[in-house]
Amino acid sequence: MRHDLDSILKENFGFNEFREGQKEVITDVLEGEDVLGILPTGTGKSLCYQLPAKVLGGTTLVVSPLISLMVDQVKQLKATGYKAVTAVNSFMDQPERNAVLKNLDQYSLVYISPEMLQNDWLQHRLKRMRVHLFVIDEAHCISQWGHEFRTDYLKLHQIIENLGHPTVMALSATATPEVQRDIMEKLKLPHMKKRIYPMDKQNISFAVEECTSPEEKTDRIVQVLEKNQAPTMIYFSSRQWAEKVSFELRERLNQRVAFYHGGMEQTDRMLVQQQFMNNQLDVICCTSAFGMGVDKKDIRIVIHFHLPPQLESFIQEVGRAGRDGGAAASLLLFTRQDHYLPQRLIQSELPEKNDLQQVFSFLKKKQGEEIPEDDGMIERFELSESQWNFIKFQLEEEGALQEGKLVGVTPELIQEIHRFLEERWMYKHNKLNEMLKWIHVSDCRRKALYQPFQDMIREPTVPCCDGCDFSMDDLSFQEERQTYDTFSWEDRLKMIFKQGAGL
Amino acid sequence: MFDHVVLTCVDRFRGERTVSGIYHLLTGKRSSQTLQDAKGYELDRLFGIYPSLKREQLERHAQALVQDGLIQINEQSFPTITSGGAEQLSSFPVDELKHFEGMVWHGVIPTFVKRVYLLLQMMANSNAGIHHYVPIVDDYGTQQWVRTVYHQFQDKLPKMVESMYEEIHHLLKKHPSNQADLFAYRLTGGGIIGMTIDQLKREFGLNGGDVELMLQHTHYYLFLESKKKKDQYPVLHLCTKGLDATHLITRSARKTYQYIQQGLSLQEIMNIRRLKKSTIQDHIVESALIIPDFSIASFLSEQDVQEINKMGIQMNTKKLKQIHEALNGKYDYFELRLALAKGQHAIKEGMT
Repeated sequence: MRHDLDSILKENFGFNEFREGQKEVITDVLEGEDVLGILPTGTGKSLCYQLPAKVLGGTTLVVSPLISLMVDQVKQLKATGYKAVTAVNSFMDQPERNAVLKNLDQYSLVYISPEMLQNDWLQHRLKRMRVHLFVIDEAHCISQWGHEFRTDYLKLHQIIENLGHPTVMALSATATPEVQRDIMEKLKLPHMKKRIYPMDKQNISFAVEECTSPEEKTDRIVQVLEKNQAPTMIYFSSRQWAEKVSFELRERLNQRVAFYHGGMEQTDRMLVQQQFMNNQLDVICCTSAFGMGVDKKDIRIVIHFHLPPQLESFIQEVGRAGRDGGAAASLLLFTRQDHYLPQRLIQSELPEKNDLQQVFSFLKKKQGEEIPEDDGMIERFELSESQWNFIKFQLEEEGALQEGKLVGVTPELIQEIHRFLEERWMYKHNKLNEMLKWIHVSDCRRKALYQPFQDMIREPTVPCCDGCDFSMDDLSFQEERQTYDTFSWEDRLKMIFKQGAGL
Repeated sequence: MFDHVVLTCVDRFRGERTVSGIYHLLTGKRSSQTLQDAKGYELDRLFGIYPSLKREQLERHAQALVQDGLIQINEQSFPTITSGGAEQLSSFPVDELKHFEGMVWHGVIPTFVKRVYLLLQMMANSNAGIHHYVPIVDDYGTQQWVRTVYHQFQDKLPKMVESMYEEIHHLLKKHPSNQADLFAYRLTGGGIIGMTIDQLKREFGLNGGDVELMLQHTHYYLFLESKKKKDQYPVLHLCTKGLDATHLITRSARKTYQYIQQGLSLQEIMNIRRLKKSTIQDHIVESALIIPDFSIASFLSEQDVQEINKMGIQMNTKKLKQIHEALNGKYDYFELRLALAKGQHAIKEGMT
């Protein structure tokens, strides 16, 4: 069956042409081929399944790791008039969830979290529906060598099988060749068609600068933004810092600055996102929680106030700049002390060797019994939630945890988990070291950044990087903006309702 | 505004309740203690007007009032108002909070507010030709409600948009202008995105708590006016449809109340419901507070009620312990609470 993809695109999504890679991936699944698509951020990955969903009929299932991301995407889609879409997640309230589940087969596009997919009832329900396309978003999560390993992703191959093997599309923006192989292996789909596209951004210039203190970083940002007036994102590794620096920038800059992080109240979060989209804000100080579903095309500057824990996160965050194809710049600021920040993050994720020893000698005595409550274990051994989840999953994986009961916590098993833990530690440290190594690169930074992911680095269309021919001080964006004078409530109300001309 | 609300509570509580008591009142805790306080100290208008208030926030604020010499807090952590505080209290423009009717309406105000904000966004956007947008209210029920309105009145939409503008304009014109400013800047629609609480604070130079309470006061004002005057404010009135006065009695208390109406004794209700005696007693007090014609004759005689209330008035206190002692322990605490709850209605009726 041949489809006129261009006119479908125009009719349903209002675009005149496909972006790089979209058409190829779409054609593959329409022809019934399983496909692995590595498309860089900002190239419209979601279109790759939204369009086939329209063409194929039935239901397209999209597995996505982050609930907030799913919910954002559904909102965006609905806002553009794509109505037959829903996100099944644990945060829905009861009436909404009931309404959605009752009519699940009415939706053309169903987003779902991997945890939810484990639900037997839901699996049964899906089995009786016509699932024509099975999409795995952020597919690198399936790989232990990916930067965001999610244990639930490992069970996806079973679900695909249970559903009678619909066509599978696995998508990621950042996956090294090693991770790509791992994805196909874990999905048990060795013959997947690979569609790999270069991820280097030709329209972004890179710079890294060392500072002696956080205060100096802020001074530097003030300096840069005094000279540049354009949509800017500043990434922080903590909520407190995002807020703190946003307050200071507000005082010192003639720009409209706001902060954004996961700890904010829902309404305010949405307002800040929308203000930024609507150009009512110039600068957003945020954590990595921002931007998932936000597709603002004209971001010109991305600044990192803290080191991301690995190159992959950095590449994704930088990729939010210049989606309209226009020139953009990335600036990363660091101090010598910053090296320890991501290190601490890793520590909170993985249990330490000693902890593991103690937990296991405790669990050994509980053979044949039910596994103790999560909270109890977390408290008793002073673990973080993700540390305990790590241990629990390993037990399950090795078959030592069956139907909630502990069976066969043997010395060999403990040995095995120890070995795996060490690998994870090593892996994370290597990732961090890559990041550290990159900030100290003295020749071409662009090459060093993208080399692990692709063979050929393309020539940039803008000044390259501070290793070549670029300096942050050369940058000069001066964009016009609407003024932000204070009006009376009457004027504001008129503006909203567009009453009376002239306003 | 926040200052004033807290000072009012401190003043009315007369040093007989802690800051915690104020917290429960403002956040609308549905315990018989809090309900009784609200009625007894005539603070029912402020009941539940600030549900998002944080305990630490209130405690910090109370400390600030101490620093400013407006209140004092004794060792048992009971705050009392100072002469400076009393002065500030009397100088506050009453107009700025006269519309609060928390006890009656706090349960439905959030729904009303969500409807107004989303309906306004939908209407202003359709007016401006914006058809694709992210709804500002992320609540399934409200979205369904607006959808229904849209389908029902599709052909009258332009008229409704104009009416909504006129209604809000007309109402805000008669409202304190600083509160009108906050409300207008909070709204989203017609291509303009509203401000966050934090941004409003900064833009208008206000303190924590003030923005929330001033917005809330405007919400009560819009609600009450449009609920009353359907012809004058048809679109806003639509947003009040189906939102009725809160029956503050808890479901559990209602059950107890029904058993009593059927003539069951306290002991029998305890057996049937498998609840502690003190819980059933709480229910009875709650019923007496909320339901004016609830007869308590099987627990206390008319004379008893009068004697207890007279003592309370004479000693100028609501503190059970003091009344208990003054009456030489003739009544237990349950009887005292019940009598005072009942007395509350007698006072109100006497006044009218």
